[in-house]
Amino acid sequence: MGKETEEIRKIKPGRPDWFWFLFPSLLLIVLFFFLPIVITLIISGTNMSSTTGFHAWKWVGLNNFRKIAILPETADHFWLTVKYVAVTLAFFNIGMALVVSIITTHISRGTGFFFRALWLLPRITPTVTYVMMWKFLGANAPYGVFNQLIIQPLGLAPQNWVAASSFLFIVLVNGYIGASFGMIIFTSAIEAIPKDITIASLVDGASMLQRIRYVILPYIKWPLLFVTTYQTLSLMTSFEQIMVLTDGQFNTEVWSLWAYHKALQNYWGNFQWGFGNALAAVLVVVGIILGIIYLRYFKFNELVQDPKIESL
Amino acid sequence: MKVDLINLTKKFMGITAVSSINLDIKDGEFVAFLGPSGCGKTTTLLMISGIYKPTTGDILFEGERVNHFPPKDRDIGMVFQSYALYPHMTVYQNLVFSLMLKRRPKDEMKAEAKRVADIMGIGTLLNRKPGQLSGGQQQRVALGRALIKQPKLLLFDEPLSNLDARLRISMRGEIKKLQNNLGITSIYVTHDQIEAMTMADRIAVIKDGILQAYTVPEELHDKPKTLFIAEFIGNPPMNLFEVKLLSEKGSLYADLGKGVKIGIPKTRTPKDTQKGVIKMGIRPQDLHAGKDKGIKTVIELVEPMGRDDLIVCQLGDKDIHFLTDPGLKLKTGNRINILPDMEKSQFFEIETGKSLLWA
Ligand SMILES: Nc1ncnc2c1ncn2[C@@H]1O[C@H](COP(=O)(O)OP(=O)(O)O)[C@@H](O)[C@H]1O
Ligand SMILES: [Mg+2]
Repeated sequence: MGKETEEIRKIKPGRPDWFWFLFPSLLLIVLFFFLPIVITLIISGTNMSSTTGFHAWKWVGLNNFRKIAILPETADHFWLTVKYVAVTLAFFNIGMALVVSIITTHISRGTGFFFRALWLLPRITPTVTYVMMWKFLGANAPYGVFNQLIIQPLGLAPQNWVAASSFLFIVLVNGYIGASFGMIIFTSAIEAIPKDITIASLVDGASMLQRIRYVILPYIKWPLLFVTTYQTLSLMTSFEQIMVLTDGQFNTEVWSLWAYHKALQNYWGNFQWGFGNALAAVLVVVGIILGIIYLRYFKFNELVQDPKIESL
Repeated sequence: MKVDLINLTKKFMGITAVSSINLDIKDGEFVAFLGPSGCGKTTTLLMISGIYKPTTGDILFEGERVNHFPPKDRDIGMVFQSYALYPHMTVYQNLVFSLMLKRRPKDEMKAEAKRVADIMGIGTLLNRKPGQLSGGQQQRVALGRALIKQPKLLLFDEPLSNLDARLRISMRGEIKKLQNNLGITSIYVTHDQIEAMTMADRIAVIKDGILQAYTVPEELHDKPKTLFIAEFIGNPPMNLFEVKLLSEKGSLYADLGKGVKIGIPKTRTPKDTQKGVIKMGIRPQDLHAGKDKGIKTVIELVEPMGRDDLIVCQLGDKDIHFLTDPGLKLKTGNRINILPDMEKSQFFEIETGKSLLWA
């Protein structure tokens, strides 16, 4: 590399060739990722709402953010979101995904495939259908499957379990879907571990747990980081399952759902676009900060270091 | 450690990979499993190491049946073609991994690491990661990792196949010396007949999962029991061609076509002389260029190989290879006489490939 390539570049007139190479994806990124963020940030600086319409709005500077800071319910939404993201991530999107992929790669291929396919079902079921099934599972007597099959036969008092254990339900509903994402990625990463390495660790005397700790986890470090980062951000920003399940009732109004309610759906019919976008902007900023922390913490740049070939 | 394989068989979903192998390995012996790729060498090794369970048959260590022992209870060390070092661990961590799993004290791990690092000459590499080592260094580390457990049985699965030719030759000698000094019973899987011939006390030749022969290297070379062994052992490979057996005045001849007939000595009389057409084999080093005696022919090609020249020419209507002294300065197109040393000739039945001398 170096001189030669530079000389070649000098010869070619006009735009550098990488520009056209990247152009299609750059266009997509700008159009669908970058522009929405810019628009969100712009609107968050206004008092735009369905009362003001698109013409009578005014710039309010950072007022929306000040309002977020002093509203008493802010802390509730914030901590609920933190708890929801952390618990779902730890127990399902990472934890359950790891457990399922380790188990299904250590049984016969066919059986493993079958169980993984089972975990994929909720992902290919329409969200509303899927969430309605959970609703019926936990619904109050005389409908709830849980009440009819377990609680009443035991002689206990039936109740609406979605309301009673709302947090558990939003974690389960999201976790059961979310786990399949990590599962697919971890499974292929585990299957890519060289057979000889596994044999060597068995001959060295490693038990199953020791193999997970010393061989499998180090081997799937990068997929682990990727899934953690990706799933943190998607749990923070997606709310459709919770909306269908509880619509934010019973203390399940996570931040993104709050933003949605403020901006696009509330009881008084006044859609506070400006305020809702300020809430969304907070998510964007927190997401960016978290992303940077993850990358730093896991030394993501090691992953994209120069190819080794030349230094061999 | 004495090892016995008894009717050892492995099937994968009905397909037989290893077919009823019987052999015994003496304590301290160095045995090679030799055969072409896909013949079942690795499968056999993995059954001995406890990774695969035999479909049928038994594996005995010191006379005790170990079929159902997990790998960690078998006192074995294993070395792979791919080195199979743990890439995220340093050389030191790779070496002491088995001790660490058993929660041995730090001092013991350090001392043991030093012991094997000295044996393998890798003392200066302890803090490096495998990715920073050359292939030869990685294989030394892998050997060290196998030795640190003080195994009673060492299993090698083509350990030198990824190394360059020079290194392969020097590591070959090194492993042999090491095995001699430590006296550890060893099984060495390879598809390279030179490795097997130079290193092993005894060689088990395997083809399609079936044991073809199990004997000392010289016997494989001089008295091949089957055509397969004759073709597989020896470098350059044995000349093999079909000949017609002729009997004239009580003497036996091999007819090579175009009127070329070679007398077969009494000591090499094929078992069934009524066969008619059979396969004859003769090694390139057992043909010589004669002055005036011998069969007249013309040199078609000369391949200088350093110590010898490999000559290609026609004998009857067969192409034949043989080795000569480069000092003779033979050139393509030269007319020469060939003297085959028929006391070293081999004969095989065509249909079965069985030797008509030794089987
Ligand atoms: N895990 C397995 N599943 C199915 N077939 C296998 C498996 N391992 C080996 N085989 C088959 O068994 C035969 C012997 O393989 P192997 O022992 O690896 O040969 P070698 O080591 O002599 O090259 C091959 O035909 C191979 O395809
Ligand atoms: Mg093999």
